[in-house]
Amino acid sequence: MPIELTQLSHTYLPGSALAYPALGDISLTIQDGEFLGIIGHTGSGKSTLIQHLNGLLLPTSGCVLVDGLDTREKKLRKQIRSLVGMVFQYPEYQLFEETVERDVAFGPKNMGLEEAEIATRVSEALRLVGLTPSEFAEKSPFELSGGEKRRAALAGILAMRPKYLVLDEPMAGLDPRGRREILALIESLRSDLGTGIVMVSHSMDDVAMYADRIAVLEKGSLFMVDTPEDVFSHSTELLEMGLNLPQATQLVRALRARGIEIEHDYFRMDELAQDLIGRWNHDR
Amino acid sequence: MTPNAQIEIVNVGFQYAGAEKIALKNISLSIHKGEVIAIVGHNGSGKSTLCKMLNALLIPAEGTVTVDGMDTRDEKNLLEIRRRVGMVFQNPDNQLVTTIVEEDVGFGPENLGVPPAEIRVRVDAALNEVEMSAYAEKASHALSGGQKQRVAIAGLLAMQPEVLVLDEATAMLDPRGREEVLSTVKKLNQERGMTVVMITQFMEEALGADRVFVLSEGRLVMEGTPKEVFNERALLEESRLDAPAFVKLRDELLAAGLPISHEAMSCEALADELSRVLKA
Repeated sequence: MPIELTQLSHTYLPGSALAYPALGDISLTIQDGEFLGIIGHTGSGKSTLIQHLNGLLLPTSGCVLVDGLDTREKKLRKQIRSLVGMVFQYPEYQLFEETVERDVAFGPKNMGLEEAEIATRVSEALRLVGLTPSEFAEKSPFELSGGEKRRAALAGILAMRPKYLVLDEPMAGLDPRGRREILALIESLRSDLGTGIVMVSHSMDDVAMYADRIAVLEKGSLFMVDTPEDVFSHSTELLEMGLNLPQATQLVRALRARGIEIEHDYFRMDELAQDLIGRWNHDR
Repeated sequence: MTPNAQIEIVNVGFQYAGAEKIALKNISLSIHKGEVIAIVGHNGSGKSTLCKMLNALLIPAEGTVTVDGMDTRDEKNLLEIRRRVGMVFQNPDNQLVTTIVEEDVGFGPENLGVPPAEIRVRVDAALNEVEMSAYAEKASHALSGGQKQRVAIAGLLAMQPEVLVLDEATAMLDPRGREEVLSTVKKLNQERGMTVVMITQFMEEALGADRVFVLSEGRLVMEGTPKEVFNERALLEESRLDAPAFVKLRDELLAAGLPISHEAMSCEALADELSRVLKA
């Protein structure tokens, strides 16, 4: 079953002089096992939107159903939060326990699981993120490198075995290899475990590469939700919103501006490279 | 000693108290007036540690750091070194200290004992320089990330520094905020000859530098122009880094036999080359 947002609107401080409408009339279905990218300028409502996916925020109007469970129902909220794992920006800032093992166990413990089950899940989650339990379980989170801390924080969410994983800028601040490793990990959660992924990112190349569909938010509204190919064929509108384009799309635009006809709206560099090499070979 | 070096780092080594790993080992480099320097390296490579050596936030355990000939180990130089070398950090929310934008910009010169009339002049000029004059009397917490970083830069400008050090100052910003900060810094370099040291995880940002230093595991493993550094693909990979996407595309096209220039590293340069080759 999917996550269904129906005519979702959210106003901060409603009824006060500071009332601020952050989201208006968003209808969107996030399918089982789908990789949905969310893009939008700062202030477009991305963070407000994702906090609705596990009931951290509740709709001012409209509703959010997670596998049919309404987030407005207080008694369902615990169940909803174990279905939808939320990884905020710089999640490693939230590590707080004395050992990695205890930090990762925090979520499953709160779910009220048995000790044995918790232990199984902790080592499973650590292995998933590439931190060998024998090496890392007893370490203090503060002894880890930046990339390892990020993984440990992610393991804490994965130990709850969420059906959906929501990530806000999961690669921010990591070095290029660290970025690739986290992205590969996220993609493997989807392909190996069938975890549905919702990823907010400013990196258009990363979103373009992995997302099945991309939701574009603009001033609290859903501008469009479609495949990367269709979304990035609206490059002029995206630029007007203050968004970036994938680098391949940037080059396609620069080539077209120079009178070279590129028929296809490429958003992946490897595909654009093949096209350019093909043209060169054909011309000769 | 390199002649005319503004910042001279000689055989610097450093280890944090209680840490197993050495943070910096035997680093020597010099930075000249008016240069734009990019420092890149993996998480934990020692970039930020090195950065903090530049204005005596950290003092080397081995070796020396001098700023315009002043040794950072000598306490009587500290105030002058910190005035000359201004630092912008990663998190926009951690570096504004007062509630109103112009008060924040005046905070530095006030602490330096600059007379109030002179502070006024400097604050206005600094805000103008970063294009934030319209926000002088606004609340600093309500600004966007890019605006906060520009106010932080204005706060440094009000102290009339010689060198700006940006420690991943764009990491937490959206593309528009990044662009705002980068163009502000570029302008300060080109129009005022400000020396700029940028630490970054974005290899594309390093393309705009005069020279790039690559750190790995606390060691300086490469230095050179962006072209020289980004041509060392294997060494970059070993250092957990990567060449910018357009450099990789250029190399792939060259390997396939397209007669494009090895100089092309940006989108625009590559488009120029491709249009020349494909139209011929």
